[in-house]
Parts: sequence; structure tokens; C-alpha cells
Amino acid sequence: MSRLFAPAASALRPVVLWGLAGASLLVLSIVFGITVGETPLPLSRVLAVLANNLWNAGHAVDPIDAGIIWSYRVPRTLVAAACGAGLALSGVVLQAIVRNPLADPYLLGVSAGAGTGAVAVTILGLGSGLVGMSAGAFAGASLSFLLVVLLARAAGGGSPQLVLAGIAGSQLFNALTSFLITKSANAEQARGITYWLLGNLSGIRWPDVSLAIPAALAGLVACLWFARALDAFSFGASSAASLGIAVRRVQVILIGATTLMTATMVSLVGSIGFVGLVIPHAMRFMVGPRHYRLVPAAALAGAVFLIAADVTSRVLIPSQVVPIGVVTALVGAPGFALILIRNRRRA
Amino acid sequence: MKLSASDLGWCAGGRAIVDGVSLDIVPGETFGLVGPNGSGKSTLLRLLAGLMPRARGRVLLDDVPMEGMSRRDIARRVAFVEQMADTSEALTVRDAVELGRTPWLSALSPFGYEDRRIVTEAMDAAGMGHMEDHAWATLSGGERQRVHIARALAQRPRLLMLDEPTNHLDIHHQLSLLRLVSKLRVTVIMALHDLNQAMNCDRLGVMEQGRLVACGAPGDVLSPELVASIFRVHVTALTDPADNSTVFRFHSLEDRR
Ligand SMILES: Nc1ncnc2c1ncn2[C@@H]1O[C@H](COP(=O)(O)OP(=O)(O)OP(=O)(O)O)[C@@H](O)[C@H]1O
Ligand SMILES: [Mg+2]
Repeated sequence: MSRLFAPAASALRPVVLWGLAGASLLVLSIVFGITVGETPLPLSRVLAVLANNLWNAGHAVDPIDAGIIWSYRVPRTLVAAACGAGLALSGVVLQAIVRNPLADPYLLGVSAGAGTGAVAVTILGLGSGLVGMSAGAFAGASLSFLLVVLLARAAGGGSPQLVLAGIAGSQLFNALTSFLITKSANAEQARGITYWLLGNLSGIRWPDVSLAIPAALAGLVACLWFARALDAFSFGASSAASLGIAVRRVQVILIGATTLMTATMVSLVGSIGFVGLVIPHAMRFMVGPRHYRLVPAAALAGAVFLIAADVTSRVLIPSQVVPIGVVTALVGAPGFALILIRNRRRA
Repeated sequence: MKLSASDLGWCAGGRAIVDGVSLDIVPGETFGLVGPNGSGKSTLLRLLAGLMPRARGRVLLDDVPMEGMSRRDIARRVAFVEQMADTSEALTVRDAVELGRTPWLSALSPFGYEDRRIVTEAMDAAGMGHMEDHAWATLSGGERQRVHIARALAQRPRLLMLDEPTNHLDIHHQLSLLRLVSKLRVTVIMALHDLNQAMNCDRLGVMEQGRLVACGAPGDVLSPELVASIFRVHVTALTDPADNSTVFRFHSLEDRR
């Protein structure tokens, strides 16, 4: 019997070790994200507040500090982590399924469509509150992705066509968003929306957490479940089919999960570029192309990266918040350039 | 594994690419498919593997209609090596061969020791065992072809479909591949261009413009008249003194005018 179980146990050990290491890194990043900010708060106070709220530890803390930490910084950091993970996973899935190293929700117009949907709901008052906005974002994201894929297919269906169609889709939906804003929003709404579209986490509260974390977790579970299917797409969809993958079903489920994650994240924090593009490639470089490693690595790295980007956006200019999309672009654009150069060398 | 196909057809651009092909494959045989470029060999193989959308006709695997089977069930029986399949992922040889285990695995039954053993065996059989850590991008055309064949072997199929498997291979690897294929205890359907290699199949089918125009024992099918009309070459049959087997030599029809 022990011979039977030994291989399983030894195969499990690295999973457990890496899982623990990853979880510790994530927790450390979250504590870091909560601690650093405009108002300097000592780590001991942050830990005391966390302990008070998580298991009623009963430490004496200034209620203002406790409020800042528990009502603002904790949800903000958690949403940053969920968004980073969700966007990075979306990139991993899209790159594998459309077999294009440049695929990510931002470049393929999914984020732009989600933005249009969310803005339409807000301005036209089609629905109400968080869920209405997310639903609008989901509808917009699905519509734009569908249009981009159809356009790419009509144009011949190659890799360059998909990227070009994605650019067209992004432009179209960004224009629609601007049109909606100019037509229907008052000046104050317009400024708020524009600011939010650049990526902004300052309005995040606890209800947002209960949307972001389930969306990211659902996406992570879907990606892990289909990790082998994603591998099987390496040599193309037809080769995946001959390896026993129900290609159409896997595509629909995974692209649905991607759209859901992107739409949720965009409706919460606006559209944040480059995470879905740069993180998956950086992780391919570090852990290789196999998805059972790539998926968790990208989710973790995306979460840590967006927490760091959020912290940077808060402390970069004293007493001013730089939109987080600006920070990710400042880091991401050079990363993107590296990917382009690396790809040329391989081709 | 037994395969019977009836009235297979596939159209593209208003043209019949494969037209009314019916075929019965006997368990254990090695069936060769020959025909000029564009005659529909690859398309027919893909139809037989159930990989074509909008296909006409039906395929039975061991008397079970393929349309009722899940992709995974098909992939546990049938492995397919495409004519050209490439990747931009930085996979190693072992990674690529491991893909062959996909139909046997799920999230609940992960890759185990038995799978590892099968993958190693498949790499060795295809002569790629010594290169298992090499990156896909660094492999030569023939090495890639052998990785694909190893991947198909790792799938442990009962029917192996190969589209021009000897393409890109040097003469040593061509012969060892054909020997390997003939020794496998599985049914094989393969498209070939080399008529001398095709002579070693148990049976041959000849494709021309989407139709199966001849089918039978290689010696009967590849008559000088048929070769002249289908392949537009003149052929002389020689006898190899080493083993008394028939060898073809080809001459361009123009040379004889
Ligand atoms: N998707 C498609 N759309 C249009 N035409 C196609 C398509 N696929 C194949 N064809 C055409 O069908 C014909 C048969 O193609 P197929 O690849 O089956 O030939 P083949 O016998 O395998 O040729 P080769 O010896 O060159 O490999 C070709 O003329 C090809 O141009
Ligand atoms: Mg062919």
C-alpha cells in the first residue's frame, strides 16, 4: 500500500511547499499594501486592527486609525489583489486560446467594451448599483469580444488580424464611451468617469470586495480545472481536438470566465492595462509554459503587482493619487517592449 | 481497431474537396493513402478522425458512430499526427510528448508515474529520448516530426493516423519510423508520397481530386497505367536482388516524348 501512496505524496510535496510560499507572499503583500499610504501607520497598529476585526482580539486602537485601516485600506488592497490576479489570468487564457502572445483583455477590446457597458449603465440609469454596473460591463465586454473575433475571422483569421481587430474594437468602444459621456453626463459626472476609467481604487469599499474576490476565485478555479486543456492548445485548436479536448466548450467556458473577470474588475476599478499582457509573459519566463504552474504563478504575480502598483500610485506624488492605470502603463510599456524584442529574436 | 466510413464528403469554396469516399479499415492493418498534392489525403484523414466541421457522411469506430462519442473517447482510441503543427510556446520535448496523455487525465486523475513511464517509452521509440530537455524552437524539422510521433504514441491509441510521417526525416529515420509503425500492435492509416514506401503497406488507397479511385493490395493498385494516369510519371518496376522485392524507378513523361 505504501508503495502505492508514496508517488502521490512525493508529487504533492512541491505543490504544498509552493502553495505555502505563494500564500505567505500574498499575505505579506496585502499587509504591506495596508500599511503603506499617505497617512503613515505603524505595522503594529495595522496588525492590531486586523486582529481586532478578524478574531476580536480587543487591542486598544484609535478609532480613526481603525476606520482608515479596516474600512478603506483593507478592502482597497484586497480588491487590488483580486483585480491583478483576474487580469493576469485573463491574459494567460486569451494568449493560450487565441494562440497570440499579444492577446490580453486590454488589447483585444474586452476592457474597452466593459467600460462602455459600465458607463452606459451609470449614465443612462439602466440598472442600479454595483451589480447593475458589473452586468452592464459584462454585456459590453462580451459584445466587444464577439465583434473583435468576428472581424478577425472575416479578415482571414490570422494572428495579426486579431490584434488589428482588437485595436479597432478598443477604439470603437472607447469612442462610444466618450460619446455617452459628452452626450449625457454633467461636468462633474464626466470628470469622475474619466478619472475612474484610467483606473482608480480610491472609491473601493467592502461591498466591492464581495464582488471582486469571488470573480477572481471563480476564474482561478476555472483556469486550474482546464490547465491541461490550455496546454493542449499549444499546437492549435485542431491538435487540441485530436487530444480529446472539447474545443468549443472549453473556449466558451474559459472566454466566459475571462470576460466575467475583466468586466467585474473594470466595473470596480476602471480599465487597467498591461497587467494581462506583461505578467503572463514574465511568469512564462520564470516557471515555463505549462499551465498547472503558469496559472497559479500568474494569479499570484498579478495580485502582488497590482498591490505594489496601488501603493506606488498613492505615494508617488505626495497628497495626490496617480491613477493606477498610469502606474501599470509606466511599468508595463517597457515590459511590453521587452516582449516584442524577445519574440522577434525567437521568430 | 476497426473503422468504417461511408460516403464521406467535405466542401469548401463551392468545390468538393473530398467526395463520396467509403472505406473499411481492417483491425491491425497498415493502410496507406497516396495521391498527388491537393488530392484530398489530409482532408480525408481529418474526416476519418472526426476533426472536420460541416462534414458529410459517417464514421464508425468498432461499429460505434463517432458522432455520438465525446472528443475524449475518440482521443483514447485515435491519435492523429498532422502534416504541420507548430507552437510558439517554449515547450521542451518532454512537455510536448506529455500532451499525448491528455485524454487519459483529468483534474481528478493527474499525471502520475505510469504516465511518466509511457511518455519516456514513447520518446525512446521515436528516437527522441536523448533530447527530452531540448526546447521546441531549437529542434530541426525531422526532430519535430519525431516528437509529434512520440506524442501520438504516448496517447496509446488503437488507431494511429499519420499525415506524411516520413516528411522531413532522413533516410535512417524514415526506415526506422516505418519499421516502428509496422511493429506496433495498432491499426495505422497514413498518407505517404513515396510509392516505394507505400508498397510496404498492407493495403493502399489512391486519391485523385477528392475521390478514392483505387483501393487494394499495393502490388495490384500501383500498376504502371494507374501511376502514369494519376501521378503523371512513367514507372519501371525493378527487382532488388537483396530480397527480391519490387522497386519503382520513375521517369518524367516528357522525357519519353
Ligand atoms: N479550408 C479549406 N478551404 C478551401 N480549400 C481547402 C481547404 N482545405 C483544403 N483545401 C483544398 O483542398 C484540396 C485538398 O487538400 P489536402 O490538404 O487534403 O490535400 P493533400 O492530398 O493532403 O495534399 P498534399 O499532398 O499537398 O498534402 C487542396 O486543393 C486545398 O487547396
Ligand atoms: Mg496533405
